[in-house]
Amino acid sequence: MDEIVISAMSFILEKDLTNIDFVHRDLRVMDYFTQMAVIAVDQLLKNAKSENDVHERTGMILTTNTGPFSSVRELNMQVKEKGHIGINPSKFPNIMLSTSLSRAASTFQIKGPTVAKYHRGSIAQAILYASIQITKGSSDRVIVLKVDEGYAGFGLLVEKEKTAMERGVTARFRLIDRYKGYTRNGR
Amino acid sequence: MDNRKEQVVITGVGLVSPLGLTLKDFFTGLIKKTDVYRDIKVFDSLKAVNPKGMQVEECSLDYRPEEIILNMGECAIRSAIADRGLDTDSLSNISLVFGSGLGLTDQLYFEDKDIHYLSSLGERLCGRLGLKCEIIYIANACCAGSQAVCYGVDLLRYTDTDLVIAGGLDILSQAAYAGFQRLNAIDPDGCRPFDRERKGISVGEGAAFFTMERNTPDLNKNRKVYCAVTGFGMTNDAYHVVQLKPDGLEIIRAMDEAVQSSGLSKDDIDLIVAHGTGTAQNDRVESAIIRTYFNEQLEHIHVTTPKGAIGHTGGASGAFGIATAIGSIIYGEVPSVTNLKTIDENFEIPLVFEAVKKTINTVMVNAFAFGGTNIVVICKSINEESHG
Repeated sequence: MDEIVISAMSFILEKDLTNIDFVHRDLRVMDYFTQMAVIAVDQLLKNAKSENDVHERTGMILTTNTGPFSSVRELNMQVKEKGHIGINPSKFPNIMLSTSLSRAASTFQIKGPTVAKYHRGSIAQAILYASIQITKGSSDRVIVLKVDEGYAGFGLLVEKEKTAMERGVTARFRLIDRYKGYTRNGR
Repeated sequence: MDNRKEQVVITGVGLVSPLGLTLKDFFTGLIKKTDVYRDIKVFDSLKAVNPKGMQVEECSLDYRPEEIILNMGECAIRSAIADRGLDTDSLSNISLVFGSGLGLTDQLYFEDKDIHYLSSLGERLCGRLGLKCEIIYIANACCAGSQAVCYGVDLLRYTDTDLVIAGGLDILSQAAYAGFQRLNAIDPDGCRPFDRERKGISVGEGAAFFTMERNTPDLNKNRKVYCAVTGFGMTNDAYHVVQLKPDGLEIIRAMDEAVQSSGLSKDDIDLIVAHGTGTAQNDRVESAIIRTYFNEQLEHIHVTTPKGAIGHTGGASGAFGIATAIGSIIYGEVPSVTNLKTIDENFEIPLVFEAVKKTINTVMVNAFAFGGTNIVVICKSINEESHG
């Protein structure tokens, strides 16, 4: 029962964003990257039957290979063409990865340890991060969010099997041997 | 919380800062309030502004963002490894955990790149260094550097990692400068943290890296140890993209988590290195939080921040806060808050106006990011008899 498990998943393709009934007060200043992040968390919490929980001890890790690439490119273009005057101050924060994390955290009141990171390759690092936060007791559950521009947003809920079962959720996967051989040969 | 599993110590320091390229130069610059606030001449296209900030002179000849950030990172990491004193070839399990708020963002001003470019900073850095290791790139805005150090502690406690190289780096960013200008967040007269006349940040740049290891009797005997990172707290305000939550409750929770996880009490804290950005709201919230959380303990605590001297170094700022803590511990002196002349009358915290000689054993380092993440780190002296 102390096993750490993946208890729920969510997935949203970027090309399907326009077909989703997504309402948010700041939608007009959100880029697609952020929209995918927020929608993936929304669906994940629903799938995990956790949308009404208090999330003071829920953590979140946002990991990405692309980051908000289009927003960065767009802002650089505006600086090139018009200087600082060309920048919309409400959209400026979109060039930072922390903005997507913030939108998801504030929308769902996730107040545990949160981190945004870039990665190359698999999301193993992010799952390890989640496992460590749960093992050491700083979080009860961690949302692992993988978002890549031009492709999709993907969410996993990592938690102890016991807490998933208490909500009537059956674990999808158990995490095993999660800390051994982690850095060997610089994987 | 299980944060006291094993003690993790800092065994090497490598800095590239506007005040110099060593811990001693950096700390001496803080103590002497060396003025490095200058015109920034490298920005290409901001138009109709006169940008100023704290630049690393060695990197300011030409504005080639990718080259500059790689040079800074390489220099700081090599310095940290050299400072540690032993060849890392003898270690097989090394992790590089680094934080950068904007990383390679500005290079896209000059040339188009493929969509995976922004995530390539770590691989490019390791390519320069010839380092084979696990790479973890934290991009959590202004707390990225201190969050990297925290995750380094986790890796040493919970995985078979032998050595962590952790820290933060960010360069003067034209994109960020333009954005901060539009947010009216830059003080044209220079950053004046906690001052009555404060109007915002100054931009800065630099890299601060540390080698970190598990503390063992052998290590403590054979190697220089700067301090232990005894614990930390991490929370999210879940409030706003760029503003601190006015009630500061989540920051207080992070502070308490940091103290508790260190196995310490509030009485043990000698110094607080505040985030201290110099913006009206941030300093107001942070000073109120420090007053609320510590209250009577503030009688024996000092509060300082390096941002008046080196500016806001973005993703490196938390790591520079830790460097300030290390300097205070090993040199037995607390630097003043540069540019603080008249404290805001609403701030009832013991800010340092002139450097103070004092034995410092335990330091709390604050870092609060755009996006709401709050990181509070506790650094503690380990060889108390050798300090001062």
